[in-house]
Amino acid sequence: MSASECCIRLRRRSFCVEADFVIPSRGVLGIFGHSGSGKTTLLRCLAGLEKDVQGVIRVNGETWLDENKILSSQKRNIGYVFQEGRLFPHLTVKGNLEYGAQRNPENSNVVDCSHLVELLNIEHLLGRYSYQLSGGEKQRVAIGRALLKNPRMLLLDEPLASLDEGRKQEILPYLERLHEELNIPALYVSHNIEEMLRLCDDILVMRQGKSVFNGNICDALVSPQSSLATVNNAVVVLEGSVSKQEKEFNISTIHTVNGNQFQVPGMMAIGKHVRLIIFASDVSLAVNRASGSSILNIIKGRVSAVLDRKDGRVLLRIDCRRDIVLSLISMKSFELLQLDLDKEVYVQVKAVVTHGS
Amino acid sequence: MFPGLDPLLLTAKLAMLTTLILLVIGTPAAWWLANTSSRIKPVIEAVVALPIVLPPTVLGFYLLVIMSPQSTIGSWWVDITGQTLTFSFSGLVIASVIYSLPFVVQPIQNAFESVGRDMMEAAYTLGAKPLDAFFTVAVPLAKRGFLTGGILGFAHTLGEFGVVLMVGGNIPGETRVASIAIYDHVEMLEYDQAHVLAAILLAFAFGTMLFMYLLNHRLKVRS
Repeated sequence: MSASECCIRLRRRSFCVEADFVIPSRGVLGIFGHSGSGKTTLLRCLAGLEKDVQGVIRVNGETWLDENKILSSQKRNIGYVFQEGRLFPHLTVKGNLEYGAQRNPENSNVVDCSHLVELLNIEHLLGRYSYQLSGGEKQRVAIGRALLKNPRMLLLDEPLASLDEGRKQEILPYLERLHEELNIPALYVSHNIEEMLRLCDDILVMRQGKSVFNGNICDALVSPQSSLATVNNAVVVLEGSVSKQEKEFNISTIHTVNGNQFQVPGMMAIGKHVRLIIFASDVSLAVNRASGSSILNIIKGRVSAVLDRKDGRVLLRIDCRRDIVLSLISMKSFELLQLDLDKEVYVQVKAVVTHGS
Repeated sequence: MFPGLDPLLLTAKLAMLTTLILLVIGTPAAWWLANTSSRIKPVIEAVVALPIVLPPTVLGFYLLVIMSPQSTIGSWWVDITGQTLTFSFSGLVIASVIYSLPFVVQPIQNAFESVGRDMMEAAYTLGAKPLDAFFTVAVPLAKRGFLTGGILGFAHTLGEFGVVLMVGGNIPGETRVASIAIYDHVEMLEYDQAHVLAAILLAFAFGTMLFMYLLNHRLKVRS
């Protein structure tokens, strides 16, 4: 299967959306941006729900849009999960699930319904109407309905935005399991960087209606173009696998792909692939190796860029072998330690969040 | 059958036929009005609503002029059917359809508007073609509007008097509907017969309204 491309432009009186990006043949592409940046409109353009879209959309060799052709929504074979679910109120959960399945244009390779129902844990809801469901249940049904159609591409428009924190945490594991099992590409719109970090492989960053970065999420986090590396929400993701367990301390050691070691709380199976999420605000710097520190994770690195300065704080990029870590320190420390480009430092990581994948 | 009840049967036949025609032509009209962003929408809405405010005699007068054998439409009708549109049951049906149009179109339009684009979009992304989505999503979700429109159209046709008198006259078995018959009976001081017809109409009207509100209440509870 070839990758899919999308290069579109939509002009409206009050705004304009322009995006040029590649959709991988599988995995989750996150569409990230602040509210009003054109994320949802972009997704709607892909789904064929907006009129007057110009440009080219090709998915797996099939043309959805070009100069001579506009394929209607119902012919694009997508699965679309709306922010508010949009379950049909006159049908039961079962009726909603069947609606898309019955209209599947390609009857081959039909999704295993019972498996999906089990995966999303909606078996006990099949006879209910949408007004009898909680917000989280509605979204799980909406995801199931979109997938049962056996789409070529899954489009998710902030499926968690309307839910409170507790409900979000309830659905995220289902989405993570889908991520593992799904062999079609998915586009996931969100303004929440944490959801992106847990679910996405690649990312498209939207700013004021324009796509400003398209690529691997780990690269995006440390790239100046993506504008993700700012004082207010800087974070990095490192990929690694578990190499050691210490039962008496309830600590596991993780080796990153680039040879750095991190010790994280909790017992994880040896060899398990994990993502380490390190917030810049949890990373402090020292010019000498601290002795007698309670911080377990201290690694050597080199200041490679000053990414942002704001409100008396400064965001630095530190290269530790080939892993990149961001550190948010005060302007005053920056001056006192006489930090500058290429200066050797010891990176002290106070907290690491892990996500298995 | 008791001959005095003939006007009732004729009224029922007229109301049923009118409602049926209105549902068939009113539904696409309501859908268009609910979804269009055309500039002439307010104009069409005003035209549809006219029979609500217009005195039935005014409407009846214009219909009489348009349908008379001397007019284009009227003479064309005589050419194909051999009958005149005025003072015939066919003419009565046409007049009733126009007279009751807003009572059917407006509730259905409101119902379609409350269905909104969101649900239709969901149906499209699930692979439904527009007509399929219309019948499987829009119509079921707008069923309260259809119910209200159908019943109001039926009930309103039952009660029409002025338009019928202008266009249909008072021909037994052809255009002598219940409301005209009651008027006639009263004119001739036949209060007994007037009582029978009036009571039946009253009971029927109350029963219809009660049925509509009860059903509406039940549907509201469910959705």
